[in-house]
Amino acid sequence: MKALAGILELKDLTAGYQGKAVLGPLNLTMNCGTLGLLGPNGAGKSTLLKVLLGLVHPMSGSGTVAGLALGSGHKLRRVIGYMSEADALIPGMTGIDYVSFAGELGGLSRRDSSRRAHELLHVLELDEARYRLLDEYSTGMKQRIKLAQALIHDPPLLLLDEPTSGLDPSGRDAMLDLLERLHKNHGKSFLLSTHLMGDVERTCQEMVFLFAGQVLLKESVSNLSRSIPSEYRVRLRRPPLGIDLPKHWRPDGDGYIVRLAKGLDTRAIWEEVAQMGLVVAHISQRHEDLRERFAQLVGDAKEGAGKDGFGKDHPAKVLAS
Amino acid sequence: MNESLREPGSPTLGDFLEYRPFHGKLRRPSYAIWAIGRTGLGLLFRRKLFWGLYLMGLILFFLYFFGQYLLVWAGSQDFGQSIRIGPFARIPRKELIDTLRTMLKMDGSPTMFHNFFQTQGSIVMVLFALAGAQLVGNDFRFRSFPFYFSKPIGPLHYLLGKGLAAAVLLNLLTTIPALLLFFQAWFLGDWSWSMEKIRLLFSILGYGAVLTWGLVPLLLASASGLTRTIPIAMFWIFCFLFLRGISEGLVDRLGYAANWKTIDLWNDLGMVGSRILGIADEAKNRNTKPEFMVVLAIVTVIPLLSLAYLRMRLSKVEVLR
Repeated sequence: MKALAGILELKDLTAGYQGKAVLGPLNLTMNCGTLGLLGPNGAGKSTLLKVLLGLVHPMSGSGTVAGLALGSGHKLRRVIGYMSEADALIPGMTGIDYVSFAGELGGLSRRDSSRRAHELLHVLELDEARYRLLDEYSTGMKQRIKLAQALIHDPPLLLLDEPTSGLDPSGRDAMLDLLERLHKNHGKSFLLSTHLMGDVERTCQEMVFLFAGQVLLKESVSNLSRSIPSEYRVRLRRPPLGIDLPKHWRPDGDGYIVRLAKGLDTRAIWEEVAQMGLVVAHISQRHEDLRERFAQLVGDAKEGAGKDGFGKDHPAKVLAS
Repeated sequence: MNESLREPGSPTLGDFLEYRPFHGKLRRPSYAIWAIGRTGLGLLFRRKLFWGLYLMGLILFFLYFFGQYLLVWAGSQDFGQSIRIGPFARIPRKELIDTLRTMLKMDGSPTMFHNFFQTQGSIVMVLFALAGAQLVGNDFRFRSFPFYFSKPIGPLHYLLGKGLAAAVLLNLLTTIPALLLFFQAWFLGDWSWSMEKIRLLFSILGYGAVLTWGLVPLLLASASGLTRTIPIAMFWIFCFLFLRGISEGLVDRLGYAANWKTIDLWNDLGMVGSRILGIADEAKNRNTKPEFMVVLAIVTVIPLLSLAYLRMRLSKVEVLR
């Protein structure tokens, strides 16, 4: 089964509360099937999810989700499965009742809903716990039952809000495996809102970085990883006392991180060190990961917002363009 | 899932079972109302306490049921002057009939139904005071709304579903047994239909509707605001015991205007109910009876205010956190 093309399209979308826009104007297309939504707190991620769920109406602009116009209300939520960050469980209910109830709310008949709930809990390996009260579930089980209730009406698009939050490493691996499987084997598209770059790196084909309600960066995860410039960790035999180090050298513990421009290799570092009359004690390549990129983007964006009101010349904007 | 018992790398149940798409047709959101109501009742009846209270209601119902039967039976038999009840007791026939007909009014008359509604109402009060948290309060307290509102339903469906559960609970204890008593009286009588009987039948339904209208929105509103059982119970004690005491003190002892009696909502509901049943005003002192139009206004306005408060509470629910 192939993921739907153009499952999400937003055009000049603005949304907010009480007449004040907190999101947009936003232009976003999701063709890939798996999109990571990143951004610091207050970036507009939750508002975007609310708009997609039809709970907040756009102030201007337009958009479609799985071919349905934003603002289609109930119809929109039929094609979306939402897994919230908060527990959102109903105390006093058993796992099977909860998922079955979710199915009925999603539009399934009682019989279909009950049958699918049993199937899903098998698939999500909660079959042994299905008759236990939700109050007794562990964090990992709660995350899986939340995924089950999002999948019960078989929506083509899943909105996942921090699905690995609170999970231990093995639980996190299991959840991410499951998401990958749902996409690869069953064609489920998902939008993953998270602070964890590792989750996006592993499960998403594309990522969007939101800041102050704007798309700061939209890039395929593989391209982004490739675009990260090479950096080297360098330790010197003796400290460079009285020597002005170049700007691309920055202190890091007992050594330095040296970022090289594209096309240069370690010979450039050896030459620079020799020119300063110093001797290299150790040199090794340093792999910057997306997490650091994320931190850097946040830092740059905040700095830019403070200096020039986040104008178009800001490096983060340039990067986005 | 017993993750600790599984050997690393061994296949899990989830590896053998696969997610299956749903090919059926999704139903309209209005079907969710019944699912919400049914699930709400299911949550209540998982607690033994509610069965206990319901049993008390049944005992009172059987008191009326057998009272009516006894009256007809005693009237139709020729026992001489006294009737043997059980192995030892003998009751004068006239005294038994007088007690049942005049004192207890177990004669299928409108007054009997008024008394029945009032008696059962006291149990409904206790039941409602304890059910509010289960039915609505927990959804606010445990932030269950992302679960509800990410599905293709709106706040109206949620309210109607919860209202349905509360209404069923109330009418299971009041209107439905009252209807059974009506049909019992009809079977024990002459099996004929007259305008009077049809009017009584509709009056019983009307009384149930008034209680439903007066109490259900108030229950949902108080539960949405106070969320926990004890504060909700205290609110109900305040409304239906404390305010009753104050109104009686103000009007009967301190001589305030009779309209002060309207602060006792239970009395107001009873007055509207008795008017529907066509019972004559039996007040010993007419000066202590509030004006009916004021009572009607209170019975109309309080549920409307409750619904407005509920709307406000639901609009402030943060679905995505």
